[in-house]
Amino acid sequence: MDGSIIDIKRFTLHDGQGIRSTLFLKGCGLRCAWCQNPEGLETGINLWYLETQCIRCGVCVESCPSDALRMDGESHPFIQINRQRCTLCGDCVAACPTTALSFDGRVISAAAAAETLLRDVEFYRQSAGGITISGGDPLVQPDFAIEVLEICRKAGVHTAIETCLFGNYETLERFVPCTDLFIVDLKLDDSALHLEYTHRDNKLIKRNYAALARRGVELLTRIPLIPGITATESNISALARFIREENPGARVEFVNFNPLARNKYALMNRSTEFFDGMVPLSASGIDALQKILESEGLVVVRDHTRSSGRSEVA
Amino acid sequence: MNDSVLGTIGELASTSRIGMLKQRMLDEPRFLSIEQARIVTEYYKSNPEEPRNIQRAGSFAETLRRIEIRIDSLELIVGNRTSGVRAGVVSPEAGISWVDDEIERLSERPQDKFEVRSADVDRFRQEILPFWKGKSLEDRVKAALGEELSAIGKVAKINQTDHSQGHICPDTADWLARGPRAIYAGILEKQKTAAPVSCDFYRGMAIALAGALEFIGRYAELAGRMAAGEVSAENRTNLTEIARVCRKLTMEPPSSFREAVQSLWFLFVLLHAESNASSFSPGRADQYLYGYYENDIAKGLLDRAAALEIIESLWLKFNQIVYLRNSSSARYFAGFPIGFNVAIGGLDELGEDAANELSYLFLKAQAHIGLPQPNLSARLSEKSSQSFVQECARVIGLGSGMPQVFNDESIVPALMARGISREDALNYAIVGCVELTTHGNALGWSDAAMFNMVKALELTINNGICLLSGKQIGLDLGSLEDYESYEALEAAFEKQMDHFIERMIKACDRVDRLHAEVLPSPFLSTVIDGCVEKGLDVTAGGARYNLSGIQAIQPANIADSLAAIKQCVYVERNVRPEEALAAIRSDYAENERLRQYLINKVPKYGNDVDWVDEIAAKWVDHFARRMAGYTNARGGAYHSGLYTVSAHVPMGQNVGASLDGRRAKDPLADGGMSAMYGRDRAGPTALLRSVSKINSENGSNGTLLNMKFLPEFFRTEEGIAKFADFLRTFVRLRINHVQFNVIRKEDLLAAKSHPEEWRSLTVRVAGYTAYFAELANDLQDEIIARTSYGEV
Repeated sequence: MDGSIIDIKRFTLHDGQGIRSTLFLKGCGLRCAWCQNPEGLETGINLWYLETQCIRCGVCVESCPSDALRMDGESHPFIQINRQRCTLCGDCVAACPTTALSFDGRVISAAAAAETLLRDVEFYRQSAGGITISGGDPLVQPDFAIEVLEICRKAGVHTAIETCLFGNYETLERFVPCTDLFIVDLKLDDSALHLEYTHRDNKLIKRNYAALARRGVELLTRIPLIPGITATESNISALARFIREENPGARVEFVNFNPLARNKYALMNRSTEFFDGMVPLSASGIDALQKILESEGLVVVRDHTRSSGRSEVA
Repeated sequence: MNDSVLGTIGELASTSRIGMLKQRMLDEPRFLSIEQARIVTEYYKSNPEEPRNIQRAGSFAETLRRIEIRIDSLELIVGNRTSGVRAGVVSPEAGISWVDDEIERLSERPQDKFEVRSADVDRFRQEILPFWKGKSLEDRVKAALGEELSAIGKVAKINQTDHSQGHICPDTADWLARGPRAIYAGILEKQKTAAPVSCDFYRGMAIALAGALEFIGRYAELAGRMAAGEVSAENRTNLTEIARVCRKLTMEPPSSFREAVQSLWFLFVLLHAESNASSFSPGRADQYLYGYYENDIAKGLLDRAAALEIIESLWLKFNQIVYLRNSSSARYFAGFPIGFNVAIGGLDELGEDAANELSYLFLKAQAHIGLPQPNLSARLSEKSSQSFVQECARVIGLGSGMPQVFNDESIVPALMARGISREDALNYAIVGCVELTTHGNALGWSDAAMFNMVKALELTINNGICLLSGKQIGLDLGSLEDYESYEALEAAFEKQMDHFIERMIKACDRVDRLHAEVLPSPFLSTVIDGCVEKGLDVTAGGARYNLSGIQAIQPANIADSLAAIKQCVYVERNVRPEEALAAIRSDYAENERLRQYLINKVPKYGNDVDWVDEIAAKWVDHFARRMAGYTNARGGAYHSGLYTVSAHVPMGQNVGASLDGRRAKDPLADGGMSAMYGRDRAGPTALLRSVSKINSENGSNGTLLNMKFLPEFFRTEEGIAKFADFLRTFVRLRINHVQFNVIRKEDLLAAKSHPEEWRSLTVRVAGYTAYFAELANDLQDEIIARTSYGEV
């Protein structure tokens, strides 16, 4: 079947063990204020305009059958998109000689996605790596994701998914037979704060976490460190207690705040206000939080080479 | 190798002696040196009737008797061919007309500057230059081929026209095992029983070796004199030891590790003194020095720290000889790639892993010294131990660009496909930058020429007319407007290539023969297996293997350009041929839209897109098949290589705008196997897969793939382990070569603006490492622009 994806990125090193390729799906059940991949929030494909790539040739305006594009001299942005008129037919994207106009994702069949993911199989075998499905969130397109995972599994490749656990447990359960590693996000222990920052409370997430842990699957727990929000002593302490209770001795990894995502918000005409003045945690700041986790008997995984989020492909 | 030995080596530090010697060397200015040229010229003037090989041997020996020598009292390993370090030696027999043209500008040229003493300019013009007019290799080549070389030069650049060829790996093991005294005695023996025709050949060798022995003896005397006047007890002890070692080496072969290393270094000084060429390669020094090392360690005569200090002394010495090129050549081979290429690890003659303690000590020395020489090459195979691969990864992560990595699994079969025995193929070494050779028995003539396929394609789609000059330089087979199908275009391209290949081979043969006439090399012939037995100079085909290598340049631009033509002009038909032609004729002046379209909307080589990668593979195949059809002047085969050193910059200057979206005169893709910079966007695994689709046998002369990683990648043990896995997969993919720059873009920008603060920063230019601050600005920009990986 077909799925809606942002992209497939090869040679990813931080979404599980070894050398991997990662499929980034579109669509997510949460709306985290700090989301690193905002183009992954909706399953729908959107037109994306990158002014810095634009050479103002005007070909797109001519190509548009719906008269949805306009270029007025020097005014910014050079190309204005009338999103009411735009039917996302793609003519402008095909015509654009640069990549100034592009879609923020594409529709692809599970077989085609798996074919690309399996291209680096020699690297996975050598490094005990594999493939990861991230997003967005795999729980939003479970049938597609599971089909991809099954093909890769059949080819003898290690599989992982990255999920925020916001979905039916029955759906999550369907992933168990075809997924070797679950990388799961826990953000905030306090349900009200969770609602405030992600638009959903965390009851379902906590229930799913507990159930998955009981199921005995291989689990790596991740906590995004958002200054002043998730990266507080009280939140980390509370999460640590919760994790210890449901999944004693769990492996936990911090994912430091990544200011680079700000650019993506600008690109999508979304507010960047959240990112103003926000800087990643210092190493000593992370050390302090790590001690809290360790005091609850959790195993903290530190990877100094990682830079969180899916960075721009230069 | 057990872990405790590894741990001991891992903790060894560099000594203050090495630190001081390194600093002194870097602080010493580089001068042009005409001292040897004056001695040689005098010799030729006084011996006009002797055959050429005797003139060569005699002038060589005379140089060795008279040239000023110097010892630094801190040195453990001594010797150089000039008293100053990193001097630019003028070599009149090979070519000096260019020196006459450029001597005033040598201190100001953009690449590879030398200071020139004003008195030397006058002496050069009065005493040296007039005598050599019309006699040097350069002048002889010009007289024989001058017009043809410029007629075909934009497509086929013929090399080795004004210098000795070098690019050879002598039989150092034999030099060490027998010693020059015994080799000399053997030659005298041969001379007695030789047929009259070969008599002069052996006489030349004997003269050269006698000079070599005197040269080594002079160091013994100098060290002895210096010891007598030395106040520091430590230095006096050292100088006395130098005197003892050198004196011994004039009489017998080395027995200790230090003696062996000193003997090795003398061999390379002597080879450079005779030929003034780029690249005499020590090759597998970890193998042939191991017996000396093991013996000293076992007897307690040496510990690992002392061995490392000796190795690092040799590493510094490798940086004291540079090679003076003309301005044009300095652009093609920028930053003094003198090519002391040392290969470590790899398979032994039984096909088992050969890495030993010296392999690790050499890596350690590289980690400490971090200078452009030696050109350290790690041979990897599927049998390489994890610890060796990880140590290589660790040193690569330090960012000096070394070791570069070679793949036994693909190279051994590639060499065997050229008729080389399995034993010799397993014992391969690297000369110059990335050129493959057997050990001690081959003249590979690996840089015979460079063939610019991108220019040939330009001529194919433009009636044989050069886009830059408007001159008819190729066959007029039509233009892009005339070819009715993509297949017709391909047929024309093949014809255009074959036309230039034919002319190129004729020119190469001629240059090869002129070398044998003008530059016989009696000393070199004593250390290349085959010459003494055959009674033939190495330049005349004395070696056991005689190959000629020509580089096919550049698969990436060919694949990208032909993919664009195929997709846009013939398949989707959204670009009219006349529009494409108009665009490249005007260097895209009026059509940036098309240029962007070609760059962004046509898939590119290096992204694991099969149909595009296969275009690269196909034309490399074609070129290799043509090479296999020719025999060179020494009776050996031609074969192909896929590397440019830094030549992608000047070769790009010869090519007009191309349909891969490259502007006129912009550099071609770097390296040889690399993707066009910035256009491999699918990551390093995709790039390796693309490269692996080109048949590695077609790169039996050597291939070059550049990759750049950010240092973050190497900061953790986990990162190093992943990099080691990346290298092992490279081995499995049967790619001949890869090398890595590990550096931040900000560092490079800073180094460009403040060269004085970044004097010791080295980067991988192509097949070699150079000081970044010493590279010309456009080459610096080009390195900055190369794609980098590591942040994902």
